[in-house]
Amino acid sequence: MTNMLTAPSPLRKSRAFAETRFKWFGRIAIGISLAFLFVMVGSITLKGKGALWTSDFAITVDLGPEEVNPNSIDATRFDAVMKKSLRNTFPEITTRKDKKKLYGLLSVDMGFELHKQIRANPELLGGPRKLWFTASDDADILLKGGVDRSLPQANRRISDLEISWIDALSKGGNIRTQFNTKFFTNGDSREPELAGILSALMGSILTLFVCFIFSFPIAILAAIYLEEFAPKNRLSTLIEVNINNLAAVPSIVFGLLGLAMLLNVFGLPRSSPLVGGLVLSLMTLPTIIIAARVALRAVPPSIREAALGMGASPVQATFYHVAPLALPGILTVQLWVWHRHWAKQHRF
Amino acid sequence: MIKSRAFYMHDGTLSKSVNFDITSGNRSKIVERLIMAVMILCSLVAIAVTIGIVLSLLFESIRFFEKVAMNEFLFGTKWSPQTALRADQVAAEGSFGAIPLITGTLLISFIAMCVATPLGLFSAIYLSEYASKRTRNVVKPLLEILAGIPTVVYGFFAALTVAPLLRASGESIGLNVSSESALAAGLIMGVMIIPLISSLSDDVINAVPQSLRDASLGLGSTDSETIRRVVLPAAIPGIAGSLLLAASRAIGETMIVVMAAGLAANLTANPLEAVTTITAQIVALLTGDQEFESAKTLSAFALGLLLFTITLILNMISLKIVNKYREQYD
Repeated sequence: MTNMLTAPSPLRKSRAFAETRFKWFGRIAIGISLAFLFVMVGSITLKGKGALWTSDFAITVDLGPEEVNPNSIDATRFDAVMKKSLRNTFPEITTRKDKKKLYGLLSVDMGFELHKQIRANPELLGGPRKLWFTASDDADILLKGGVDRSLPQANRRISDLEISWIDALSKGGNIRTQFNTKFFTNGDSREPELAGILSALMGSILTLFVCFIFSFPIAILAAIYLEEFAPKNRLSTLIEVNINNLAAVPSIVFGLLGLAMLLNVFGLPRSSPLVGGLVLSLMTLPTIIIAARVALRAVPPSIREAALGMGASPVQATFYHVAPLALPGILTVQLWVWHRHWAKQHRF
Repeated sequence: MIKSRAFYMHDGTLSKSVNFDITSGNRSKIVERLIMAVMILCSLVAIAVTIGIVLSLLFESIRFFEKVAMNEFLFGTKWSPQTALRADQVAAEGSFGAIPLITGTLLISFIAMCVATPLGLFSAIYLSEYASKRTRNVVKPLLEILAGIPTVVYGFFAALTVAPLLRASGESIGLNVSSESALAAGLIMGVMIIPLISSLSDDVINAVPQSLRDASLGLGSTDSETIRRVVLPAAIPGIAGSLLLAASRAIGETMIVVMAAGLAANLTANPLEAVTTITAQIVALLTGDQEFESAKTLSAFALGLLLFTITLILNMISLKIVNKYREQYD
């Protein structure tokens, strides 16, 4: 008998094995899910971090009076000045084609950059000066190690000649890598080295602002009504079912609603933050109502009873006592909802 | 009542301020009624939105069906929605058969569910039945981060990292994988809905009464036997509901498929080929400037109506199942 209890029988062994296996299924499932999270965040960080740095070239620019007239700075053709300085830096280049390539070493904004630097510091005028300019995207990628130099010339965006110029600049200490402030202060651009997120960010903030103004009060009032006052009749059941279903309607259907109703029927302007925000607020409404109701439900009934017992009307009890207690919970959820809709795209 | 309170206080200023209180006299009733009316109006907004959605989709779809027969839309197998610039243009008619879009949507959603169901379900089981409180507190928020990532980011990841990876690994074993394969989009969409499945089924599993588990364990079954033979069968309806909800989310997902799935309508069941979905087509149809009256633009609304109907039916069924199940053990 003792033997049967202590020695592991084949059945017990297989059951124990099944137990461990089942546990490991769970662990592996969680592991895979989290691995996806880390790989995704990691890959996006790795791919994105390059955008935070930008390369600059130092070019000696002749700012003597025959190039830039100190009395009429704004009338100067700075692009021509820059092109001439580039030619002077590499005097061995003669053909038209190569010269064009040479100008492409710097960003198309080089003239503006020179103008800006002179405006900020007029003392630069008067002679040759070494100034920093933004490198073009192709040169920048090369410096960040994104170009395989062993590839044949025809397979890269940057030719051997251009690489030799950049190497020469690098040898002379004329290249620096800097934090890319333009990324945060510029709008979008066709030139990658000049593109920034500011305009897109402003659009998002404005849209979210409109969304907040509309959805927050409406959703909270609706939640308070449904949770505290609504009689149990067919209308409130209908509203409830409706809200639950709306919460699961695909976002693109809301976009179509915005297109048909707001743009075509009411004639609001296209692409405006107002329309985007309105549609987003309609979209977030059910989610916030559901969450606000959960927060209201969490307020203990004793608060309500105490307020009513002191002679407050139901409306007073709710607005002075119950809602303030539920507010932090509602706000937390609100933040979460926003963060989810932060990057929703719409077709307006 | 207000007056008597002021009387006890013997305080002129207070009684004056109390008179401004909304409880004083008739005014209070008016104010309270007003507040109630505003609140009722706010809750009716939800119904108004639903009616607005249905009406706008319906009216534009009716206009679409005036131009294209409903039969052709629902059962046609060719989707190439161009409108003619000249009458003698090649393929001037354009064809609006939604079948390839529906199959594409279903294919991608099916792949997504294949990924998300086992991962989400096993995560939920482990977290609710095995994990210590500390593990739960760490892992659950991490999984919820997955739900909080904007879908554009998922799409970006699918299009720029996963799709080339799949293509390269397919090539190395001699398979021709499209760079916009349904597999890449479905895989990443599956990752997106893991937290939805895991948190919903977690709730459902936790709602199974402890007495059922205790009885099973008391009869000598192991933990895993209890879960498989007692807890899961009791939780199955709720889990089915959460899976349906996740499926409807996958069908309606837009940004991932816009970025990672193709635009050419392909009638295929091969996950390695490029397919397109209803949502991706709606986006493609409405991008840029075009006249509103053309069948091309209006077809977006017909597709929207189709999508709305599919997801609404799925949601209604799943909400009914989940709610019914919740009440059973409450």
